[in-house]
Amino acid sequence: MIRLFLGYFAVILALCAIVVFSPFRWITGGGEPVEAMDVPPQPVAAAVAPDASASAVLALSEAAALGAAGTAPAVEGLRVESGGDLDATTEAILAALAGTPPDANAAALEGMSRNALAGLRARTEKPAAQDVSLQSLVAQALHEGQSDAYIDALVNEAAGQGAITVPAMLVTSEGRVDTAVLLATLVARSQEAELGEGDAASQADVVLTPEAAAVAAGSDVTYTVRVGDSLGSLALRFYGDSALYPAIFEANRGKLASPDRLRSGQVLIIPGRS
Amino acid sequence: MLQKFWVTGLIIGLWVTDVAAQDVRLTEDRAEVVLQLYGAPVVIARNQDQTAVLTGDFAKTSRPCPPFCIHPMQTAPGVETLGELELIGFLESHVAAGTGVLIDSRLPEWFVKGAIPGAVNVPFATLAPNNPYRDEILKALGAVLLADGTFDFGAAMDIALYCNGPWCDQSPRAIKYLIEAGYPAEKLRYYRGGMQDWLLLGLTVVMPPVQG
Repeated sequence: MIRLFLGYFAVILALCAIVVFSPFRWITGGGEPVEAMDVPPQPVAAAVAPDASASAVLALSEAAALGAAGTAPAVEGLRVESGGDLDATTEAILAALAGTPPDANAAALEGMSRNALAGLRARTEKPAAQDVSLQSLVAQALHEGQSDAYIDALVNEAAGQGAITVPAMLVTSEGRVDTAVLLATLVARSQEAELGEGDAASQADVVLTPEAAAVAAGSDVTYTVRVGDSLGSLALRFYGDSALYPAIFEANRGKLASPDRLRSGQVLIIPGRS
Repeated sequence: MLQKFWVTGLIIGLWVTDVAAQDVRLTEDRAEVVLQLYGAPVVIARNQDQTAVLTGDFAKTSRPCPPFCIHPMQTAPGVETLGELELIGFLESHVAAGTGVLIDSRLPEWFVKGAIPGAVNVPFATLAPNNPYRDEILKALGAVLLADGTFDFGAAMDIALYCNGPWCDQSPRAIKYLIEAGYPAEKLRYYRGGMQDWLLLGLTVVMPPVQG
């Protein structure tokens, strides 16, 4: 009688084990892959009914291997099965369902959108991709932490291929792109942004050359163009700001057909700042 | 007599080795497909290891539903559902020609673990109406913003979308968002099998570089 009772108890334990564990884990876990493919996923009840003896024996042995048929090991098993990535995915889905994602999700959405856009544009805007702007080219190189020399070579190569349009003020007397001025302007702008207008102005005063000081005082000076000069570099040197190049261009209209036609040896008038 | 057996054995032996060396082809006619995608050759073939089986995430049969429920064959009216050969056909006819794009609508952490060659990662959430960048994405897909704030999708790309498998909600959701935004259903395609079926057939998977 006691044996019979124990026997029933064992079978009940086995059934509990089948229900608590995800069904057929013992089939997919071990055995031949072909076998696993042949067994279609069935409801638990149906699986137990036809060959209860075989399932019970196998499940019981697994339960025994785990130490007990209680709920603790089963929960542990479940936790292992749901991977961390899946959790993240689910959370993201839930966040999207909620409609109003918190800030962390908004940032993630922004990042994903940027990547998606970059990926799409790289593929869908093939002809336009070659028409990169000078700004984006330099910004990208700066972002990558490239050296000034690298940026100079990069910009000039792109300009040489006609891939970018270059402001005339940045073309030097040899027909190269004056990336030094571009970079100096970028630095000046970022300093202005950091220090505020007044501080930037006082800093600019410090670096002025005697010629530049004369110009700043309001008197015109003459300047002989050297190799590597551009209108932008002259404006930067004399006025502390490359954006003021039109003043020099206007004062030398007779000699310069356009702002990119500087030749070394040319004598230019640098008008004083009034 | 004995010699006859020996010759027969030799022939059978040769036949067996021939079978072992036989390719796992895409179809009877095609062993593999070589595409020129975005300026680089891409080969789509199948795993030649005939003992290979799925392991890891894509070997799972049972995920909790909801949210991982079985999706119908037709995800939305007018949106064609693709199998593997049709998807490869789409890559050949549309993506290689520059008139179509294959979108992986999963989240980036899944995309970088392996994707279908030529796919661009546009996570489903980025196509949701609450994403402020969605209009930019639609523009990148070739939609033109009109003066009245609506989009003209006349010149927009044909799109095929997929996610992790027939139980995955992400590409159906992305398709729903696109249709709601006005994207013409006939420009959309749904590869229902997704990564799971693609991997099940041992088809070529690429590991995209981690973006940003």
